[in-house]
Amino acid sequence: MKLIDRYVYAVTDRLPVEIREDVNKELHANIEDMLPENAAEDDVKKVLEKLGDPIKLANEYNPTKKYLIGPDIYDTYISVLKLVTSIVTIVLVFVTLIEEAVNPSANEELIKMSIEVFTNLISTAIQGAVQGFLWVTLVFVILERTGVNQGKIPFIKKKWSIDDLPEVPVTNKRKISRVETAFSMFFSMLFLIIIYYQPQLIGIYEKNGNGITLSAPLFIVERLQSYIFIIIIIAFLGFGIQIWKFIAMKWSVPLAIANTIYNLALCILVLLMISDGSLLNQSAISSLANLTEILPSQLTNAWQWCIRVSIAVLILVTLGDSINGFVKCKRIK
Amino acid sequence: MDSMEELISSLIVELRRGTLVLSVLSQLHTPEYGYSLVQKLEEKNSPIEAGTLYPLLRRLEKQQLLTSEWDTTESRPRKFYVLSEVGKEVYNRLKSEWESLSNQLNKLLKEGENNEID
Repeated sequence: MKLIDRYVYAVTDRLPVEIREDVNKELHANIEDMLPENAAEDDVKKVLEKLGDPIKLANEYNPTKKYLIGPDIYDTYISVLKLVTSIVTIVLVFVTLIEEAVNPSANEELIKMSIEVFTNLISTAIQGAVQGFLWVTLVFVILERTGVNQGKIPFIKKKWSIDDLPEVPVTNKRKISRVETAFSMFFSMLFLIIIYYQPQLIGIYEKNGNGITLSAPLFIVERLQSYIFIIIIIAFLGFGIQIWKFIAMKWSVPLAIANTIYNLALCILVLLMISDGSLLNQSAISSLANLTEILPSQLTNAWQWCIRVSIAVLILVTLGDSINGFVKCKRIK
Repeated sequence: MDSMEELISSLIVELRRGTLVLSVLSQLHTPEYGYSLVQKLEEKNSPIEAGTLYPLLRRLEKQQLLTSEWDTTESRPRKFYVLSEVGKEVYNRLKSEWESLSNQLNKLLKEGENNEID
C-alpha cells in the first residue's frame, strides 16, 4: 500500500528519531485495522482523510513549542527591543553625523552632498534597527528555550510572589531610574561603536580656516585593534547589566555582584590600556603641545599627572558604584 | 447565524476535550489497541477521532498512566495499552472529581431553569 507508506512517512518524518520506528509500526497497524477486508484504493483514501493532515497528526504525537518567544517574557522582550533598537539607531546616526562633520564628503555641490549624507544616515539607521532587532531577539529566544520555565532567569520569574509587586512611591531608595539606565546605555554604546568603527575619531582637533579638523588620533589604531576583542566582551557584559537594571528597576544582591564584576573588569582593562606605552600616539602629544604652546617635556609631565588623577577618579567612581549597589539592595521594605 | 453555529461547535469541542482523558482511561481496564478502542468508544456513543486518540494513547503512556505491549502472535502486530497502577489511581481520582463537578453543574443549571421560569 503505497499511499499508506507515504502518509505514515509524512507523519513520522516530523517526529524525533527515538519514537519514529515505533510510531511507524503502530500507525501502520492502526490504519490497516481501519480498512475493510480487501480494501480498494478509495477505502484507503477515506481512512487517511479521516486521520487528517499528517502535519497536525505529527504535532499531536510530538507537541513542540510553536513560538519563538512565549507570553511569559513577551512584554519584557518588547520593552527591551524598543530600548535597544532605538539606542543603537540613535547612536549610529550620531556617529555618522560626527563622521560627516569631521571628514566631509569630497563632493563640492551642496545638494549632492546633503543627499549623500541623508542616504547615508537612512541606511545607517536601518542597519542599526535591524542589528538591534536581531540581537535582542536572539538573546530572548535563547532565554525562552533554556531557562524561562524553570524560573532560572533572575528577572523573569515563573512563579509570581508578593515581593514582585512594584513600589508605588517614586522616592524609592532601591529604585533604578530607567532614564538613567537608558542614558548610560546610550553612552556606552556610542563609545563602543566609535572605538570599533571609527577609533581615529578620538583625537586632537584643531580649529583652522576650514572649521574644526582632526590633527592627530589619540591612539595607534593597529595597537588598539589588539584590545578590541576584550573591549567588546566587557561592553556586552555592561549591556547585559544595563538591560537587567532596565527590567528589574531595583537593586538586588545578584545584580550588585554582577555590577561589581563588571566594574572590576572595566578598571583592569583601563589600567592595562593606560600602562601600554605603544597604544598612545606620540604625534597626538606633540600636536597637543603645538596647540597649547607648552613644551613637550612639560606636557609629558602634566600628562603623567593627568593619568594618575584619572586612574584615582576611575577607581573611586567604580568602587563607589559597586558599594552603592550593595547598600541599596539592603534597603528592602 | 452561521457564526453562532461555529461558535457553538467550537465550544462543544472545548467542553468535550476535558473529558477525553477520562473516557479513554475508563475503557482501559482491559488491554486495547488503537482501533479496537476507537470502535469500543463509538459503540458506547462517545466517539473520538482516530487522529486524536492514537497520539493521546502515546502521551498517556509517556505520563506513565498506561503501559503498552506489542502483541505479535496474530498475523498483524498490534500495540496494546492498559492502565498502569498509577493510571488506576489517577482514573479513580478523576472519576470522583468528575462526579462532584457534574453534580455542582447540575445544581447550577437547575437554579438557572428556576430563574428562567420566574
